[in-house]
Amino acid sequence: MEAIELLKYNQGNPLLFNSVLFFFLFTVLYILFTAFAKNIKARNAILLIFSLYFYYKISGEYIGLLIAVGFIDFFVGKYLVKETSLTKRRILLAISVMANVGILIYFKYTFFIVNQFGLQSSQFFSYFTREILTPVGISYYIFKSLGYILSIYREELEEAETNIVNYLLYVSFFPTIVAGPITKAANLLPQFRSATNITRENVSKGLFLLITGILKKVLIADFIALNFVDRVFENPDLFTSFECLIAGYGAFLQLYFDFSGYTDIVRGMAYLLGFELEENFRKPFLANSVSEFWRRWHITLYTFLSENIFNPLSFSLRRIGIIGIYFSILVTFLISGIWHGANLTFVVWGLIHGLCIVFDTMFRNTRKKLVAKVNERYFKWFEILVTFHVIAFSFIIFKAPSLESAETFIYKLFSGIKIVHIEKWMEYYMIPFLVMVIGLLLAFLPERFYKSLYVKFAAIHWSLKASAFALVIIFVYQVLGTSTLPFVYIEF
Amino acid sequence: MNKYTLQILFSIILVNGLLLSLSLLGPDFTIKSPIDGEEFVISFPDVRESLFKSAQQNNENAENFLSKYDDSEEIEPETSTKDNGNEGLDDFLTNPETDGERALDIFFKALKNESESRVVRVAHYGDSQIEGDRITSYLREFFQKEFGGEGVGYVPVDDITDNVNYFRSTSGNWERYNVFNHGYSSGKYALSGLVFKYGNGKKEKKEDKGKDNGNDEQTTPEEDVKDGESPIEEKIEPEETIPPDTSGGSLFSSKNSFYLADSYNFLSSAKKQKPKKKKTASLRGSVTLNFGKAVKFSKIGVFYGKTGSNAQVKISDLKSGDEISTVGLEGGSPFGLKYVKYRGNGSTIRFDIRTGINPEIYGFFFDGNNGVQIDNLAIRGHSGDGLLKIDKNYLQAQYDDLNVKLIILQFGMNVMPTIHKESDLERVKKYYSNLFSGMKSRAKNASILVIGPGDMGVIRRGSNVSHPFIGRVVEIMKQCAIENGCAFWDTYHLMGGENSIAAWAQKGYAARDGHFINRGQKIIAAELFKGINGAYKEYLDRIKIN
Repeated sequence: MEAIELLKYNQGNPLLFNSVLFFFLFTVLYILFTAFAKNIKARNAILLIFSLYFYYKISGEYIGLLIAVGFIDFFVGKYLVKETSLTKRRILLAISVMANVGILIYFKYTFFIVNQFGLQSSQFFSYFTREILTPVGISYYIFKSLGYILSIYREELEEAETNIVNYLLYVSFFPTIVAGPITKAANLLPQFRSATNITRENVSKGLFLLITGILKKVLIADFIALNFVDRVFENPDLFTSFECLIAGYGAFLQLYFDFSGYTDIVRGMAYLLGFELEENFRKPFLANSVSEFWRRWHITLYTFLSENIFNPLSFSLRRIGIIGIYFSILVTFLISGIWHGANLTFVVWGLIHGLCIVFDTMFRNTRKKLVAKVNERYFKWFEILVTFHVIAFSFIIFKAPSLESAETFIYKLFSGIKIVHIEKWMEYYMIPFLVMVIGLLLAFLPERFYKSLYVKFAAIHWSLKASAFALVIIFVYQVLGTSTLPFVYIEF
Repeated sequence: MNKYTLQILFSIILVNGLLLSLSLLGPDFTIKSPIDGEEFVISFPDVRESLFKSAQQNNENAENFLSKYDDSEEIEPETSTKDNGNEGLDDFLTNPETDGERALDIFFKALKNESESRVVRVAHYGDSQIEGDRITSYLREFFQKEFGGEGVGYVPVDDITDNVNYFRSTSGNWERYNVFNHGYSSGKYALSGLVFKYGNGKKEKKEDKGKDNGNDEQTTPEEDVKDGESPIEEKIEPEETIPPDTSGGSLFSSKNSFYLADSYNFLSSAKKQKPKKKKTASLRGSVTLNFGKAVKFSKIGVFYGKTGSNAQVKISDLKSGDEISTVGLEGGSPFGLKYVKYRGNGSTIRFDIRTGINPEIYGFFFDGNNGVQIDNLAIRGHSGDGLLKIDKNYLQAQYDDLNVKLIILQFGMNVMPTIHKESDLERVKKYYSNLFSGMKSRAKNASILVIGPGDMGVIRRGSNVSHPFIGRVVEIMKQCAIENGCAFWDTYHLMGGENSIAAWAQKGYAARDGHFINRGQKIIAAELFKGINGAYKEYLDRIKIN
C-alpha cells in the first residue's frame, strides 16, 4: 500500500529532480528507453507517458490543463499552417492566444488582480478564486505552446506537427516542464521526429552537465541561501547594513547558480536521452550593459519575448520612431516582470530592467564616443562592474517577498556600514563568505575555462565519468544538511 | 542499440548500485582516522526514508491556528474564555500557586490598585526575537489600550538594530557595555543590562568564553541601598572599591548562539579613537530620537549611573526648536533618574550630554503619568544568565524605584546550539533553574513570567524540521519556572508544537529559523496579552470571592 501511495500525487511531497524516487524512476525509464531506442514511435510514447506521469506527480489534476493546452494548440497549429486567408489565420491565432493567455492569467494572476483591486469581498470573484492553485511550470509550457503557434503564424515554422504524441511530448517533455528552458518548437520537434542518435558527446556532456548542475545548485546556491541569504531576506529588519549588502550580492549569485544549475541538470538529462536543449545562460556576470545581460541571462525567455512581443510591437510602432522602440522595450520588460510572478516586486523589477535598457539605447552613441577616448579594456570592466551592481540591486527587489520588505531591505542597506560589523560578520559567516567568493570567481571565469574542463572530462573512460558522478552525489549528500530547497524558479 | 546508449545505461545502473550499497552501511557511517583517531561521520541516503517520508512535515495544529489570522487584516487579542483549572485561564499560560498566591498576583495587584495613579512597569527581557521593540511594541499597545499609559518606555543610547518606534542617531563616541559579552567590572548596569560610556579606545573588554558560570548569586558586594530609600534624584557618593566581575562568561556565549547573526553583540558605533588625555570638563555626547507620529509621551527621563559633578543634559525638541529643559545629573550613584515633563507633539528629541568625567549613561525613558509601560530590554544572542551579572541590590533597587511589577523573560532559542544529546539537557535545567531563582531573589516585589521559545527549524537530511530538543527544552523551562514560582507561557505549543515553524514560515509569519516577522510578532503579542488578561480577569474574580 505504501508503494502505491508513493506513486500517487502528494501535494506535500512533489517529485523533484533531486529526489531518490526520481532517480529510480529515471533508471526504469532509461531501461525502457534503451530497449525501444530504435523505434521512434515507441520511444516517444514512453517519453510522453513518463513526462505526463512526472507532471502528474508534481501537479496532480492540473495534468488535464497541460493536455488541454497541448490539444488546443496542436489542432490550431494544424489548421493555421494550411490556412491562407489572413482573417481566418488571425481568428485561429486569436483562439490560441486567448486560450493560452486566458489560462495563464486565470490560474496565475486572478488572486493578484482580485487583491490589487480590492475585490475580495465580491461574491462573484470569491467564487471564482476559491480553489485556485498555480500549476507548476504553467508559465513555461504556455509560452512553449504559444511560441509554436506564433512561429507558424509568422511562417517561421513551415510545417505543423502532425503527430499528437510528438506535440504533447514537446509541450510536456519532463526535463523542461518545471522551469524551462523555453525550447523552441523548431529545435525540439525535429529531434522527436528523428531516430535516437546517442554519441560519445552525449555521454560526456550529459554527465558533465549533471555534475556541474548539482554542484552549482547544492553546493553554492542552496548553501548560501540557507546559511545566509534567505535569513536576511526573510527578516531584513534584524540585519545590519553590511549584512544586507552581502545578502544583496549573495541573492544575485544564488539566483544565478540555482537557475543555471537547474538548467545544467535538465540539459544533462536531455543529452543522456539523445536530445539537445538550448542554452539558457552564457556568463551573465560578464555583461557590460543591461541589454547585454539579457543576451546572457535566461536566454530562451529573452528570445521568446524579443520575437513575440518586442519585435511585433516595435514594428507596429515604427512610425513614431525611437519613442516606439522605448515604449516597446518597457512593455516587453513589464510583461517579463509579470511573467515571473504575481507580485508587484516582479513588476518593479521588470520596469527597472526596461528603463535600464532604454537608457542603454539612448546613450549608445555617447558610450561609443566615450570608449574612443579612454582605454577600452578598462572601460569595459568599469561597465561590467556597474552593470553587475545595477542587476544585483534589481534582484534585491526580485527576491524580496513584497515591496514593503524590499523597501526595508534597501533602507537597511543604506543605513550605514560600521567596520565592527564587518569583522564580526567575517568571524561568523566565514564559510558562506568563502562559498560566495568561489561562486563569484566561477561566475566571472571565462567560458574557455569550462570548455577546457569539459575536454578533460570527455577524455576519460565512461566508467570513470559515472564514478565521478556517483562521488559527486555522495559528496553533495554530506552537505545535504543545507540543501533540497525547491528550485527558486519553480513558482514561475 | 549503440554502445553509447549502453554506456549511459550502465552508468546509471552503476551509480544506483553504488548508492544502494552505501545506503546499507546506514544513514551515518563513522570512520576513524588512523592518524589521530578522530571520528568522521559520512552520511548516505536512507532510501526507505527518502522514498516514504514526506519532505515537508505538515502540522495541522499550526495550520488551524493560523487560519483564523489569515483572512483578518487587523490582529486584535481575543477575550480568553477557557478555564484551565488551577493553572490560569489559558491553554498556554501556567500561573502556579505558592502559599495561596499565584505567580502573577503581584503584577495584577498593581494593575488593579496602582495603574490609575502611577506607571506600572513591565521589564520585557529577551534576545533577538524581541529586539528593536518587536513583539514588545504590540504587547505595549494592547496593554496601554486596556489599562492606559503612553510612551515607549526605556530607550538605550544606541543599539545594533533599528527600533520600530523611532529613528536614532548618535554622536560616534558611544561605547556600549552589556552583560552578555562585554563585562563592565563594577556590575553597575542598568536594569537593561547595558551601560554606555564615551569611547576612549580603552574599553573594558572581557569576551565570554562559553564558561559555565551557573552562579545564582552575584559576586559583587551588596550596595548600601536601603528599603524604601529612593536614589532617584539623589546624589549618593560612589563606593570606594568595587571588585572586578569575576563571574566568568556566559554558558551560552555568542560563539554558541543559534543565530549567528545575533551574536554580534553590538560593539557600539565606536570609532577606534586614540586615547585622550583625561579632561575635567566638556566631555560631550549626543543622541537624537526621531519618533513616529503615533508615539505620544508626557515625561522624558534621563537614566544614569556615575556622572561626576557638573554633568548636565540639555533636552531639546528639534521640531519646535525649543529647549525642553537642561537637567543636572547630580552624582548618580548608585543610579539616578531625572524626569522632565513634556507637553509638545515633538517627533524629534535631542539629548546633549556634557560631563566632567566619562559618565555612565543608561538610557532614556519616554513615559506617561500612569497606566502600563513595557520596556523592551533585548540583547542579541543572549540566553538570560547575563542578567545575574548585574549587581543584585543595584538591580533590585532599580526594579523598586521604577515600580517594575512584572518581569518577562523571553529566552531559550540561543541555548539550542549547545544541545546535542540528552545529557546536555541537565545542564540546561541547572542553568534555567539558577536564572529563574536568581531573578526571583532580585525581584521580590515583582511577578516573573517566563516565555518559552517558539518552534525553530533546522535542516535534517534535507528537510526543514523542528530542532530535535526544542520540545524538551520547553518542558524543562516550564518545570524550572513553576518550581521557582514563575508563570510560564508556552509559545511552542501555541504555534502548534513540533514542525509548526514550517507552517508559520510558509505563511510569512516567521522566518524558518524561528524569528517572528511582522504579523507573526503581532499574533504572538495578541495571544500573550489574551493569556495574561485572561489570568487577570480570573484574579479579579478570585479576590472578589475572597
